[in-house]
Amino acid sequence: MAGTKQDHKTDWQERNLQARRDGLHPVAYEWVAMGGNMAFITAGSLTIKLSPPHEAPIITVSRSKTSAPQDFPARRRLAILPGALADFLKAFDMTHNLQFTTRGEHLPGAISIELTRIFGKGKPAHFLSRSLATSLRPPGSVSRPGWARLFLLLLTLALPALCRAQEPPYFVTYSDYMEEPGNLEITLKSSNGTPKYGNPFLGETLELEYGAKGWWTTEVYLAGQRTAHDSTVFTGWRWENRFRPLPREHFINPVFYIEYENVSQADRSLLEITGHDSVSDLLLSNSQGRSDTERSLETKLILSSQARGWDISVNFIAEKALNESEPWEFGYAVGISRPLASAAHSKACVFCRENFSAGAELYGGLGTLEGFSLKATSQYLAPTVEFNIPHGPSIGFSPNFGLNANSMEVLYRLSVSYELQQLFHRGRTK
Amino acid sequence: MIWRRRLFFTIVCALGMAYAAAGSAWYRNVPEADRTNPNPYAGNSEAIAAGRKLFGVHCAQCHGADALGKKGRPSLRSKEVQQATDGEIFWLLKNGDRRHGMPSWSSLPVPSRWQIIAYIKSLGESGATGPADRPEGGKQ
Repeated sequence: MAGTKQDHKTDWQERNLQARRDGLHPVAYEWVAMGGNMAFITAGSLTIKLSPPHEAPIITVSRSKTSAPQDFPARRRLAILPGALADFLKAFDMTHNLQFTTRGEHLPGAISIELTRIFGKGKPAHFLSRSLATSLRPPGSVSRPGWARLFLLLLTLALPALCRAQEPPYFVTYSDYMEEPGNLEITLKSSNGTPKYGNPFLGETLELEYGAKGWWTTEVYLAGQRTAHDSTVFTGWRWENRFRPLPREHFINPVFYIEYENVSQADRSLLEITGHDSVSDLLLSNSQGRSDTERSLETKLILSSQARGWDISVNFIAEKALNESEPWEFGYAVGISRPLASAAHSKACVFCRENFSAGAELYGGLGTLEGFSLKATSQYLAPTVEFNIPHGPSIGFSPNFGLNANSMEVLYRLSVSYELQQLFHRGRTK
Repeated sequence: MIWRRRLFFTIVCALGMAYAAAGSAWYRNVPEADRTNPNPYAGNSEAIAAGRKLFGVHCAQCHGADALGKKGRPSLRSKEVQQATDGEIFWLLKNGDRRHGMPSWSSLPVPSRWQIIAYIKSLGESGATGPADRPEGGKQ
C-alpha cells in the first residue's frame, strides 16, 4: 500500500511540476465545510460536497480514526491540471490521512480550491445529508444583485398603503404581539446576501398573518428565492399558529408557537436558525436544493416583556424533521427594541420620532439533541429599524452580521407590512 | 352515571357563568391600585391632540372615527367608558379583553396610552350607547 501511495504522490508531484513548467498558475483550495467531517470544498464559485458514500455525491470522503480536523493545514497552494482532480485528492489523502473516492470529475480546467480552516469536533454533523453545489461563476466575474434590491424597493414603495402595525421591529424574534382579531397583515420580507464562495441570492417571503382570536394568530408563508447565475424558484410554504395562554399582561408573557413547514433546501428566507444550519447550506444550487424538501414541525416558546418602553423578547426554538431521521434541532432568538419616542407629537407628521422604532436581534442555532452547542452553526447579530408610516405601511430594515465563520458576513433584510383591517370580522355579538 | 352528568352540567354552567360575568364587565377585574392611577396628561390640550392622532391610527378601525362603535364594537363614548377612571381604561388598554376581541396595547408606550385616554375622555358621553354600559353604581 505504501508503495502505491508513494506512486500516487510522485505522479501527482510530477504533474504539478509539469503544470508549472507549462505556465499554469498555482491554485489554492479551501475547505468551507463545518462539522466533524469535512463536507465542502470550493473551486471558484463551484462547491463540491465530500460526504459519506451512501449519499452518492460527486466525491466521497471518510476520515480515518487517526486524523483530526485540526490537523489540516490552514491553506495550501497547488497546481491542479485539467482532469487531475482525482490525483490531487489522492495526494491529499496521503498527506492528511483522508480517503477520497471520486465518482466523476466535473471540474473543467485548472481550478482554484482554497483551504482555510475546519470547524467542529466530534460527531459528523447532520448537514452532511445536504448535497452540493452552486453554479460555476467564471473567475473574476462580479455579481450584481443591486438591480434586484432596487426592484424590490420600488415594488414595496409602489404598493398601496393601508395601515401600520404596532409590532416590534424584529425579523426573526417573535414578541408576544398578537394580530388584532379580524385584521390581516400582509408582509413581504426579503433577505439578501452573498455567502462566501456562493452566489448572491434574494429570498422573498410573503406572509399572511390573520388575527383569528385575541389569543390566536395564524399565519401562512409562501417563500421563493432568486440566486444569481442560477434560477428563481418557489421554495415552499409554512403554516404557523401562535397561542397566548394568559389573558392578561404579566411581567413575562408567554406565547406558544407551532408551525408546519414544507420547505426545500433551496429556501433562503432564513426565518430562523436551528441545529447546525450554516453558510454551507446556502451553497447548494437551486436544482439540488429543490430536490430535498424537508417537512418539519417547529415549536417555539416565546417569552416577552415590556418594561419602560422597551420590548424584550426571547424565543426558544425546537424543530423536528418529519420526513427525515434527524434529531431535534434547537435555536434561539433574542430581541430588544423600543420606539424612538414614547409620546406622540400633537401635530400630524410623517418623520416624527414616534414613527420609528429601533432595536437589535441576536439569533442562531443551538445544535441538536445529540450535540447541544453554539458551535458549528450560524450566529447573527442584527440591529434593526422600522419606520411606521402613519396610515401607511411599515418598512423595516436590518443588516445581519455573522458572528462566526459558519455565518454569512452580512445578510440584509427588508420588510414591508400592510394591515387590512377588520377583514371577515362579524362584530361583537354580545 | 346520573350524578356524573349532573356534575359535568354543573361545572359547565359554572364556567359559562363565570366566563359571562368576567367578560361582560371588564372593569370589575381592575385591581384597586390600578383604578386610581392618575393620567399625567389629563386635560392637556397637546396630549389630547396627540391622542386624537393615535386614536385614528390604532383605535378607529374598530371603534369608529367618531368613537361611537362600529360593526358591533363598543362605543367609547358610552357611559361605561366615560365614567370609568383613567386608571381603569389604562388597565384595559394594557391587558385587553381578548375574549371579546380587544387586544392588548401593552406594546404601545405608556405615555401614548395616556394620550389616547386623554382624548377619549375629552369626547364626553354621546347618545349612542355601547352594548355594555356600566350600570349605575358599577364603578367601584
